[in-house]
Amino acid sequence: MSVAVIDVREWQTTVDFATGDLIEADEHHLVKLAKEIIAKRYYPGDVDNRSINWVTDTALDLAEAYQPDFLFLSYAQPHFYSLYQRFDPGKWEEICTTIFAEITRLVDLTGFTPVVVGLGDMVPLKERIDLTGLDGLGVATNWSFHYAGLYSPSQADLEQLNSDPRIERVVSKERFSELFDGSQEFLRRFPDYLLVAREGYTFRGFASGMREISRIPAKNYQIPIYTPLGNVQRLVDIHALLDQALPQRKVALILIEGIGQRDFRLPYQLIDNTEHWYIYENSRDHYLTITTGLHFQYGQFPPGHLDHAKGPKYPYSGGFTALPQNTLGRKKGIKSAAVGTRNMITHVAAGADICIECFARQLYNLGTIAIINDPKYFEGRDSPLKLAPA
Amino acid sequence: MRCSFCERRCDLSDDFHGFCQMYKVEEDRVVERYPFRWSGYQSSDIEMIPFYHAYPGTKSLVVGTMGCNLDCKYCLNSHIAKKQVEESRLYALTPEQILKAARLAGCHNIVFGVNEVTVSFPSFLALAKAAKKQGFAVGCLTNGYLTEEAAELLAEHVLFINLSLKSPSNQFYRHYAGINDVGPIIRNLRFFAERVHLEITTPIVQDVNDHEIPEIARLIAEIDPCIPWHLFRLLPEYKMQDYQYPDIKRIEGLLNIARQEVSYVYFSNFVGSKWVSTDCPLCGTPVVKRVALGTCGAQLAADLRVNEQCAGCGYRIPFLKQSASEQVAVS
Ligand code: SF4
Repeated sequence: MSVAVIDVREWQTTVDFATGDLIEADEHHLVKLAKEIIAKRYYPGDVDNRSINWVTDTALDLAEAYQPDFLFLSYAQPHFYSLYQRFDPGKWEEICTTIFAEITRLVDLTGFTPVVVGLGDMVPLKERIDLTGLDGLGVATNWSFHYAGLYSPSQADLEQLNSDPRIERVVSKERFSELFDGSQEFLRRFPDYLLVAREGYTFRGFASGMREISRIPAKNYQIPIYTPLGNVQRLVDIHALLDQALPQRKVALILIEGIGQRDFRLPYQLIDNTEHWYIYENSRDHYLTITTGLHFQYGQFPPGHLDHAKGPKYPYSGGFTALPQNTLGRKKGIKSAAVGTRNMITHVAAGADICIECFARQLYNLGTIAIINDPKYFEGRDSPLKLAPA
Repeated sequence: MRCSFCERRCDLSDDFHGFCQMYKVEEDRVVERYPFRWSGYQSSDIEMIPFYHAYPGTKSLVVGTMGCNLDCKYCLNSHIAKKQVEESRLYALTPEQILKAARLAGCHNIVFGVNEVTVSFPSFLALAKAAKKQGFAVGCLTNGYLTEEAAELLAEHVLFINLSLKSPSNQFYRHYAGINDVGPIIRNLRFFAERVHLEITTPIVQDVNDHEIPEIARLIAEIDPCIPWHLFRLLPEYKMQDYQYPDIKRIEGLLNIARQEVSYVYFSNFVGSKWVSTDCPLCGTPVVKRVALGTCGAQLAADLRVNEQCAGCGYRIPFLKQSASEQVAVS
């Protein structure tokens, strides 16, 4: 079983990660460790600069106490700052400087070989394309910026969207599956049409967030990667690069959201950040493609999908009812740990033995969660986590 | 000319748009400045809104607008409720468009659940009317500061309400919510308890209203001890951003006192809360299991009722209508 320890400031609880049922698991050394770390490391909040240090400090705690072979880190603060705050060049400079200084601090103190990926630059928002006037339903969620789903459109809707200069393409489900293929689950959820905006534009419609936004990801055809492990050409190759390096080397895979070529402060190679015409943008897909080596259409959720049916399993993992099993953190024969400020995406994408992430939604800072992924670590042994509900 | 939707009864002459910024006078009538303009629409589990005893396991189409008639210093929604209302931020959507979205998204009911319903009353009532015709159940959140006339109208149009009772005292409302008198809110609470399915939410602010929990419990019990009561661990924002978070252990002690008066007491707005499930008040058997995901509500994990009764002793727990598995298909 997997266990989650939740900390909401001065109060903690331990639950079965798969069901949310309360359990007692205090004697498990990883649970104890997680409790200690998250009790002393309050998450400062998504747009707060101190959340950059929070990632490093928490990772150093984990690295020292657990001695992982693989460390997965996500610094999402630059993304949230750019998205929601009025852009201030001085503050931005401070953010970039802090991030790279923190990465250096982590590497100096732990000796991990860093592989650092800048997930892409952000650009000012030009305009939001309002989908609410259509006959069909335009679904524009917080998970995508240049992509929206369209359901049951009329002919007039399609003509209007096809002639809108802000829209790059309107792709039917059939055309998409012909070109991209995809997993059954992904294609089942795929909207009738996928709308793709030009750079600087994003959609608004059903399920859009209510906060104002100021910057969105650019169309980053290429993104920078720093790696001493060898050459990579494409996003999907990062998985193989690390898979080969582990466990001979201790590797830290570090993702930085909201920073691309423009602000990357390490020597880098550029890698292809696309699949056909699809350009990855800071999101669940980006993370999962990097950690599984599989393009987004082999995952579970297409952009703009309407099916938010949650099963009873994994209540803390967004819509996921089964967690990806082919992530780097689940590699056999290694110890893995993860820390991130991109809430549940961190544990889903990392699949690490122990993962600590913020529990924040729509900028509401609800605390932190540590997930101890027992089945892998205790493979072939009796799990000490078979405990009666509290 | 005065607006009669809420007890502020703003004088809208001289181009004043009301405390809420949402009304104006046109041809001797009070009309909305932004009719059928919404700040958002999306689907949500009904438990997340929160309604725990209404249509468990169903999806709600949640709509809202902008503006508010109170001025809560700790407001969590100030980016919507307390901002200068701008037309450009609102979506133009007819009731028919909203209901079409609800059908496509598989929603069972429509809930006004972002800001205060009274500030967009005519549009909401028109939506409610259309929704009812098409077979959707309709509900809303309110702070309860409506006039009697508005409360009567609301009760005619909705089946379920979650009313935010922040305190039983005038002093609290004066200092923290910008109004002088809790009287109309308690009057409406009594009225809605008779007319619709009612749930109550109380945001708990440490050292401000936590000591009032026993008094609120007594008030609810006197009206109807079976009204589900949600205590909400408030993480203050807006003008009280740096204020402390309520101490869960301290509130836990007060919950036990409250439970002696009120049968269904919940405590949420923090991840992992163990006080979001329903146990039978007679025999203690778990009746509905929920998982707290932070925010105000929870996610349904299991509905353990048998024929809408407690599986342990057969007691019929008050829930509005059918469970999800029995719901009338509307999509
Ligand atoms: S609804 Fe708005 S305009 Fe009408 S009385 Fe209340 S605050 Fe004033």
